Amino acid sequence: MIIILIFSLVSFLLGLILAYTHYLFPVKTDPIINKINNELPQSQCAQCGYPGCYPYAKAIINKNEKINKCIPGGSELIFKITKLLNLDKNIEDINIQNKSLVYTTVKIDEKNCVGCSKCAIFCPVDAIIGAPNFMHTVVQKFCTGCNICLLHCPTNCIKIIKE
Amino acid sequence: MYYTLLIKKKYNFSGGIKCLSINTELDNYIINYIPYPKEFFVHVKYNTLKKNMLRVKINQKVLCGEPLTFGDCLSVPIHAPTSGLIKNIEFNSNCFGINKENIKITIISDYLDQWIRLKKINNYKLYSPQSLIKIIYRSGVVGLGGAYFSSSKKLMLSINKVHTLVVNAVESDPYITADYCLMNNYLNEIFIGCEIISWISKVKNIFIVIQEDKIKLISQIKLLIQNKPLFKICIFKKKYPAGSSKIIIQSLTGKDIPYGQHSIDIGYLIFNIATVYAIKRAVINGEPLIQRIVSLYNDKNHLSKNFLIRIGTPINFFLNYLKIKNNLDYMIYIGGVFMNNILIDLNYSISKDINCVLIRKYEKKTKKPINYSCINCGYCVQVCPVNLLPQKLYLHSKYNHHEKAKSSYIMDCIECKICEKVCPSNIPLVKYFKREKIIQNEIDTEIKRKKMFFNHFQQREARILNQKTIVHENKNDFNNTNLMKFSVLEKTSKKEFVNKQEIEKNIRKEILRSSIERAKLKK
Repeated sequence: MIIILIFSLVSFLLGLILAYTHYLFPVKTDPIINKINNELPQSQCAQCGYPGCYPYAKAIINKNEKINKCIPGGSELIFKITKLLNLDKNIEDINIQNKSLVYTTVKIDEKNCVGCSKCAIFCPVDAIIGAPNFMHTVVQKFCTGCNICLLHCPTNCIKIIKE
Repeated sequence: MYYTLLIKKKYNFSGGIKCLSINTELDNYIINYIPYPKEFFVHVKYNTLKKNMLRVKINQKVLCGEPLTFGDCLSVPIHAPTSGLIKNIEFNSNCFGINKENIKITIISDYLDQWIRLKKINNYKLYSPQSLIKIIYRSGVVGLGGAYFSSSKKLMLSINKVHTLVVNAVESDPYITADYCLMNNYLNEIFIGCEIISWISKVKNIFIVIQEDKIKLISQIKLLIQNKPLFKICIFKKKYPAGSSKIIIQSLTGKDIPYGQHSIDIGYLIFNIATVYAIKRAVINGEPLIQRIVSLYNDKNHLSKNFLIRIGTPINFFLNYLKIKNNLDYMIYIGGVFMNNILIDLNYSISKDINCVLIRKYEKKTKKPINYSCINCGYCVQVCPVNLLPQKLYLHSKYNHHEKAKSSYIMDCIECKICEKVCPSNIPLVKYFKREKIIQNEIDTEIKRKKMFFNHFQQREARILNQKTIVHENKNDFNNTNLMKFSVLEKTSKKEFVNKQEIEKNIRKEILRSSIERAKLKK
């Protein structure tokens, strides 16, 4: 009995200490960053210059990054973010390049594929399947259309298909 | 006869409109036939598989009932409506609906109507449910009430999940008589079909749902039912919209089907009466589904007839046979009086999901009806059969409040157009709802995509981390083994290494010496 009592007391005290430390040094999560991250298309294509969608959302808030860097999001995304951040004045300054949001997928020309497996390393969502020195294919269901693999193919056998 | 009817409870639902009954004549319940046209157009809607779906080539001879396509998990195979020659196969001929791509197969009939050999089954109880479902799938039965959902898939889902079968004999639109016509002529076969379905999905009781104004049919069914404890008849009040599965189940049981779920999840299996008939035909006669009953409703002349038509008959031919030649004077719709779509291309043929062709005389509209603003009168709320608030939905959809529209259950709307008919300020409510539904679907798919992409990204990151740890561990293992081996093989390996180096040095020295000697000789 005594042992149980002691242990329960100790655990209670430890819990108090943990709660107090959490109160002293809270984990900083900005709700605005999460909101922007939800608006972003989550294709993780890194075309904005950041390794993923969450770092880009972080950079928008913390480093004053421009909003128009997300290419798959298009102009709709810019309007959404301006609404979120109340940036009414800056709408005119943004030059809208890609007006419509069109999802693309990528296809590998399987006859010419030499199996270098360079594209598979860089795919952010593991949509490319294939062993080294064998033919590679794209799983159409998972492809986000980020077109990163286009840059890394040495034989130019990857092509864009529009949906 | 009336006495027995009065005792029974009549099922009802909130909202809806009582319709004026047209004077029904005997013509309504007799099936009419039309001759076969020269050309059949068979439309195949496809989703993912394209050219692999086709089983036939151009200039190939086909027999009646021969399958034209391979089915996949979503679509059922489609059969040739008559024997003849395939003239043409077109892709992407979008005449009905913009987004739906389809294949159009043109068949020239040779008027011989030769059938393929049919496999008849006399005692279906010898077969297992799975094989019966396979037969139903192969004969291409889909929901003939207008849903176009593969009924073999419905049966597959319903096994060991369902306790009642509901046979839907209620017309969705008040003036269509196709289902009654079918009941009148083939009642016995429909009962056999019910038994087949009950054998497949092991249901405990069967409800036959019918509207109150068909007194003769009800008495007939009661006579047939008497000795069968499985069957039960449910009489509905005559009201518009009653044909929807949601409303039928709500008024039968008082339970709502939540959006995204089917009636199977609650334990009820609903089949239209035409589908039951088609299943009976498919299982016992072995016939594929190549014909259906279509009712023709003419607004002015009250010419309402039912025709047994082969699927693929062009509507142009159908109208020409009825001597409605001057197509410019008439507007032709597909669907009933309330729910209809205007037909743009007259070369479109009768497909499996058409149950009525509506003809109206074209009238020049001198004045456009003025749309006033909503005055919150609340007529639409009283009338709505699924207990929604159309005025609120209208405001949300007009001002693009998508989240609010979703939270007020816009996706439960069945587009019956009653609220539009009742509205005193002529607002096209259903148009707004349709647009809003499309937008909601787009948002849904977007969110799903985002989730999927994010999940894959996380999985990849986890995988890479895993690989790194594995590599790290492997390195440690390698070093350990090296250390272990080093002590044992130290001397021998070093000796060999030294020996090798010495031999190589000697060889190099000799080569150098010989080359120097050769140089000296040359001098």
